[in-house]
Amino acid sequence: MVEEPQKTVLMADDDAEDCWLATEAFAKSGVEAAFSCVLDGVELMNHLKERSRPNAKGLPSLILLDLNMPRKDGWQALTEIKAEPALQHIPIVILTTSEEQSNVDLTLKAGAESFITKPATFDEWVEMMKSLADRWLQR
Amino acid sequence: MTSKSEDMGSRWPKLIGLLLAVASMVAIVALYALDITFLYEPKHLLGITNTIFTAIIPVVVAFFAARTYLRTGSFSVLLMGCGMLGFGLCAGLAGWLREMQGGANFNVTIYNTGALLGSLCHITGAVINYSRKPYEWGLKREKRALIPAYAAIIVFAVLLSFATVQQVIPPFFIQGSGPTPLRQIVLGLAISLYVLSSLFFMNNYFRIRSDFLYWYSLCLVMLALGLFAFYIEKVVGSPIGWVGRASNYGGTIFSLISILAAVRSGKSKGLPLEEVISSFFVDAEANFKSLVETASDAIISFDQEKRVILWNSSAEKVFGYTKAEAIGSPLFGMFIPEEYANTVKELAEISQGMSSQKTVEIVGAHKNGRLFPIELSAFERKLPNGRVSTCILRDITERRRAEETLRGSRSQLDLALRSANMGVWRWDLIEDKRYFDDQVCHLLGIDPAKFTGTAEEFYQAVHPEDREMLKMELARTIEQDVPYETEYRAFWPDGSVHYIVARAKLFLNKIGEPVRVDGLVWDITERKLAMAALLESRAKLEAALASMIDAVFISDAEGRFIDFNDAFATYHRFKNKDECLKTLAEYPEILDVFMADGQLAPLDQWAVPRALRGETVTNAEYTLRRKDTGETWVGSYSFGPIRDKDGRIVGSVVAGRDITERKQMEEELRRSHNELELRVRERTAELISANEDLQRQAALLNLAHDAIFVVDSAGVVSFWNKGAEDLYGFTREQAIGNVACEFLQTRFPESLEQVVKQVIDTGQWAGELRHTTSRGEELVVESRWALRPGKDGESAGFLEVNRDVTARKVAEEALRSNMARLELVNAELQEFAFVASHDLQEPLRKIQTFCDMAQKRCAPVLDGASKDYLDRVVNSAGRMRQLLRDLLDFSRVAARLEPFKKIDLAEIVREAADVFEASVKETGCQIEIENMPAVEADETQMLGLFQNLIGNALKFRGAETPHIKIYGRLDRKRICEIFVKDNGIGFGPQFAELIFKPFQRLHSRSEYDGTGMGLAICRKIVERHGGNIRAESEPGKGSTFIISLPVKQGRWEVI
Repeated sequence: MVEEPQKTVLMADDDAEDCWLATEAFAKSGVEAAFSCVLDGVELMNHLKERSRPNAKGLPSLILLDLNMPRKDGWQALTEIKAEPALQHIPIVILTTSEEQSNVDLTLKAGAESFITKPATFDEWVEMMKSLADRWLQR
Repeated sequence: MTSKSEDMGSRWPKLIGLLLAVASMVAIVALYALDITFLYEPKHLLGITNTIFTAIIPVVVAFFAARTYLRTGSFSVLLMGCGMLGFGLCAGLAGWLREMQGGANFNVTIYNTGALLGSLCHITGAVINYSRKPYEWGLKREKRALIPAYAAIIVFAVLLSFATVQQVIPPFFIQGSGPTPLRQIVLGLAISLYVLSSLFFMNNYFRIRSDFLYWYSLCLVMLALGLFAFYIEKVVGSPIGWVGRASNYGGTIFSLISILAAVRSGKSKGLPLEEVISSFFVDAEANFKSLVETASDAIISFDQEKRVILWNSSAEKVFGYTKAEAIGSPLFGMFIPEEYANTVKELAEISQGMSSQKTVEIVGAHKNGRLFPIELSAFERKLPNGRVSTCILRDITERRRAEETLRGSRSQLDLALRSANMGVWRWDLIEDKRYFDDQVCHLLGIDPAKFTGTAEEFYQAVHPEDREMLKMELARTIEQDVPYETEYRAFWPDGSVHYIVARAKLFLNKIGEPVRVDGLVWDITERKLAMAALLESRAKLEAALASMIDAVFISDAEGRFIDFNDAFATYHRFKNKDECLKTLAEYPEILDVFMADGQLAPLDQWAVPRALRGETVTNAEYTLRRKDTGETWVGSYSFGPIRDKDGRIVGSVVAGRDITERKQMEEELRRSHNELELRVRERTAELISANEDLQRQAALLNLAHDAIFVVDSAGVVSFWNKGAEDLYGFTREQAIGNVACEFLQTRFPESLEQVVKQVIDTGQWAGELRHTTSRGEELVVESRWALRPGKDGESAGFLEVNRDVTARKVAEEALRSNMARLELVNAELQEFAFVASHDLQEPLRKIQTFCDMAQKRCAPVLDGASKDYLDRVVNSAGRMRQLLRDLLDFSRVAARLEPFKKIDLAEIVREAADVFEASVKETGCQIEIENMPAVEADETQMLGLFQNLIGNALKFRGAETPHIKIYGRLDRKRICEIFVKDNGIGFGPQFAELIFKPFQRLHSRSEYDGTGMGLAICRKIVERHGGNIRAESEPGKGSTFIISLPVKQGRWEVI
């Protein structure tokens, strides 16, 4: 908590309700990390640029990315991050309403680490946060 | 000329030499008369002068004499050398011994004895030379005498000196009292012998006129004079003695001069000195002998008995008898007919001793019996043993013949000159006088009576404009000795101008000086005028020839081509006119000529010789072949002779035309004509036999509904069946003979050329054409064209079979547009369904989530009714989500996700069944899978299909243990049928179709859960694979779903 810098999970989703739900679920999950939200791809990229400067607070340890966003969608953001040497190490989990199998295949091919359909109940949200933290924040 | 000038050049030295001799003599006589006796004898002087003049020089002369002897073997020369050597040695020794005690005596003794020795040798040589027998004198004798002779002389000189010094020899001279009588005898003898020798030489000189002999003669005279001085001198060393010595010295110098003269003479004759010298000693007889042997005339001597005693090599040639055969034989009778004996005898007698200038022409008899004319001269000599006659004779057969010829040609020349109206003239260059005969005068318009031969008179007769030219030409002829040939105009006093040709030749005298010009003149005025006319007509002819395509050539009677045109060169495959060979005789070298029958034509069968023989022929055919290139062509020749006004053939004119191409064309034509005829016969037979077939076929074709017609390669209709009449409304009569695509207004999908090309290349074409009927209706026909090949492989025409597809086309068109619309609608629908179901999911999920949160977080404040309401909201939202998912699936079926590939349906079915593992265990369901085919299909969709069907079978199971049987049946190899049979609750047959509609349910949700999309999706999947699905069932008796699927995909895919 004090001895090591706090890890951050960053969520990019234009749906404010989902952001709220996610933040709630993350808090409920008890994972010891910060959680923040940006509302579209442009904002996401700006955030990452700012964080990758020297003396900055540091890059997020995990990005949860929605596909359907205004201005710059998740596909574009994913491609840009995975093409940027300074950022490509950050794990990206696609978190979307779509259940389309083709989308799963394409995002994985584009470099996303995982693909999760948004859960329907709050308990499922909390469970999801826990398993995400177990999977991606324990390093 | 040159020999003369040499004589002139040496005349003065000779005179001086003679004067010196005379002067010496005068001096000696004068000194003797004055009797001056003072002594002058400085020491060594005599020795030196004697050594130089009377020793060295004579020895040099002796040396040359020795060489001459070795070369020629002449004893005269050897003796001359001996004389010189002996005298020289003795003189040299005497000069030195003079200085000894009693030297005067020694001197005189040795000198005088040496002089005697020399004189003896000279006189002997001269006598031998003069009297030696000819036969003894030969060039082949061995020359062994030189060394003994010269050695003997040297020994003699040495012995003499020794004897003198030892005083063995009586004294010749006693100082104080003078010479002894012995000496006087010796010296007197020597003097006379020298004089005698000198006279022999001088005699020879006058005969031969050789400088050598002159000087040698003078040399001997001087020696004699010197000795004479000694003879009369009283004191040795007195002036008279010195004069004598000087004379002797002069003599030796003259001998040297004589050698030099011989050298010069030898040079001018190209002979070595030795031979020149020896030639001077060759006596008359020897000369005569060698002359006899080398003479080109036959020389024969005979004695008083008229027997041959001399027969030279020319005589051998002339008469054919060898020397051995001839000598001793009687001259007359054997070599010369008897009747000429007296003639010869008389001729010999009148010219005694000298060969006469007179000759007679008689006849000789050759060994082979031939008599031949000879020219003979003869002379007689008296010899001690009788008279010898010598004849010089020459075979004049050739000369006779030449004379004969000359006589003939002389008269011919005269005749020619007269008949040619030629004039003969001569220009004497030395006198500068012209001699013109009457004809020349006539031609030049000069009066022969008044003509004196001056240049003025001549040039007066020449046209003023030509005078300079003429002068120059003549000057050139004289200066450069070139043949004179010129043309000028004579200008007659009456003012008329006449063209003259003059030819002449320069004649030189023996020394190469021009002396005269002889020439001819003749008038060419007429020819000139004719020439002008000729040139004009020639120019016309040339132009005419040049413009002709035919090779035209004109030859003279000898086959020389006088004229030919450019076409001649081209015709004979020459590069140009210059390259053409100019005479007929040269042509067999480069050409083979064949007659029409293919035989090689001999030269006399060629056009020119035939024409020259008088044949006039038109269109004779020859085949020509160049030997060098092998090029062959056929020529058509027309030719005929050219005759002069007397009808004699003087030439030929031949015209040739290259008809190779024409021949080839004719040949081609003939061949194709034959072929055609053959074909026509064949075809006629074929046609007759095929006619019935054809009629039958035509009848059949008429029965056909399709429009069938035949067009030729130009598109003209030659056959038109009933179907065509019906379809297009044009009757047979209207159609046949007209161009089909014109009256049918055919529109082709590609260009007509391409269609025709394809038919010709592949034999057929198929496509759609648009035609217009006689009623103006537009038709679409499915047209098939077939090639009707002609006999020659060329297309003879096309058979068209056209089927009216207008109605079908219209239907197809409508279908296509409907399909397109349908596709559009379908795509829109799918898009809508996809987007709708996708986007609708979002709020539904949130409804579920927040209801869930409300149920959990607000549970304490909610009453029972509220909780029930929330449950219902959550259930509805869940169902809604399921509906949306199914709808999404349904819409997704058409969007082909995976390509079709061959899959094993047995495996797919097993995989689908595995999904229901839990349910199968729970119900104890039995699933049988049998005889499943492999088909080309979308694996995911097939999996979905069977999951749906198996799921349904499990869901709608009856009371008994469910039993599902899935089996396939291959039908007609292309379509397979798969049966999914259960023992479930079944349904009424009236619902067999309804169940496949989306959202159709036969049961309430409380009985069986589900959205009613399952079978709709199944049908959609099967239909997408080009198959169909149906159901057979009765309530309570289970149901069977029957799926038909094509084994292979691609051809029947329907959207």
